[in-house]
Amino acid sequence: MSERQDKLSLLLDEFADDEQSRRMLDEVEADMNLQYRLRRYAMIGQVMRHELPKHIASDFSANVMAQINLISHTAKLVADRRSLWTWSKMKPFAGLAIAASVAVVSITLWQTVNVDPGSGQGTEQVVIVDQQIVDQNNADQQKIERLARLPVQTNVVTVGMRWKNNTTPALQQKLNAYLVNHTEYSNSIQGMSLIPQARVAGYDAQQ
Amino acid sequence: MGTNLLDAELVKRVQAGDKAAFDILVQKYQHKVVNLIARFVSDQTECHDIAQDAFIKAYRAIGNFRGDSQFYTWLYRIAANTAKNHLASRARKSPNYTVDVDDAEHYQGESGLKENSTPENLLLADEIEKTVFRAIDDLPDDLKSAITLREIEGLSYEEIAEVMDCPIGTVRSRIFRARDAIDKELRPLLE
Repeated sequence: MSERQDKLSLLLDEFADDEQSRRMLDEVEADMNLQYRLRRYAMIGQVMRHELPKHIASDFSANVMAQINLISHTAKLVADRRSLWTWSKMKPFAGLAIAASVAVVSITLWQTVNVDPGSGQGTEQVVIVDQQIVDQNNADQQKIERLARLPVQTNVVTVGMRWKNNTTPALQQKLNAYLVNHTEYSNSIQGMSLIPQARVAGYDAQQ
Repeated sequence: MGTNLLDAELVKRVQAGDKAAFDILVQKYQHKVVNLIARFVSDQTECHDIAQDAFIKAYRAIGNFRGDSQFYTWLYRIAANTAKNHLASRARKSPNYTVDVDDAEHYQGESGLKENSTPENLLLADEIEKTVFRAIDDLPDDLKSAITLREIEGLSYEEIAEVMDCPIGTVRSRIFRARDAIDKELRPLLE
């Protein structure tokens, strides 16, 4: 401790070298007891030079620092409020940006709805068509429209452009066979089928 | 770190956002600033209030301090201006020229020698002085000489070493031991 006090004395007299002074300042700033001691050391000289005021406010520096902390806190509150105000101004634009993103995503999907299971009358198909692919291939569009008009006995769900790839009879038969076999198998498991209401309606159905 | 370079280092830290560094500057210069303002304002309570205002103004403006002058010179100007502004403001508010006739017999005006300090503050200042001088009187001669040459004559360590015909290290040790001995007497008063 006396070594630190000695360094404090050097700091007060500005006799320490720069590096030593900076280190000592760091210690003083971090230690209130050292600050009080430095203040008392300075006061000794002020008393000897008759520089001490007649009246001493023991809480002088505490009052000053309290006001400074209040100023800093207020300034921070104002700055935070300003950034909040800026955000609230930006919100509509952010909302528009989000809405635009959602629109882009949703524009790829559209659907028309029909549900009439087992009627056998062949109602409209439930078709989900990838609009983007349709737009890119006009030839396929005609096939899709033709398929869409096909009467079906059950609900049929197509996704994407599988119909495009499945229009060949050979592949169609294979797919039908798979589904049938799978459905029969699934039914044996507590009557639940993985695709209980789906049958591929393609050439076989037409035939 | 030489003369006033300590202040420059502290100011640099304050400008970097280090409030504790400003606290050290306040503690170092508070009595000088109060003494300065006391030349303008006799009311001791007002003196301290104005001095606190001066330090706060200095803190707010410290970003503009370029180091062209010494920190205390810059602080001195702020304190003096703060005191003058306070006097000017008080003069504008002064009822000296607007006293109502009916109230004139009851109006006593402002006393220039108002003393509003509490007895405790007065006692503290007086007690501090007595304690310090008593402690100095009790010091051995070599310590008394060293601390007197340093604090009152303002000599550097090298100059004191030359005057006392001893090494600089001895001067350093004597000054520190003198302060430590006086501090032991002073500390109970201020805690």
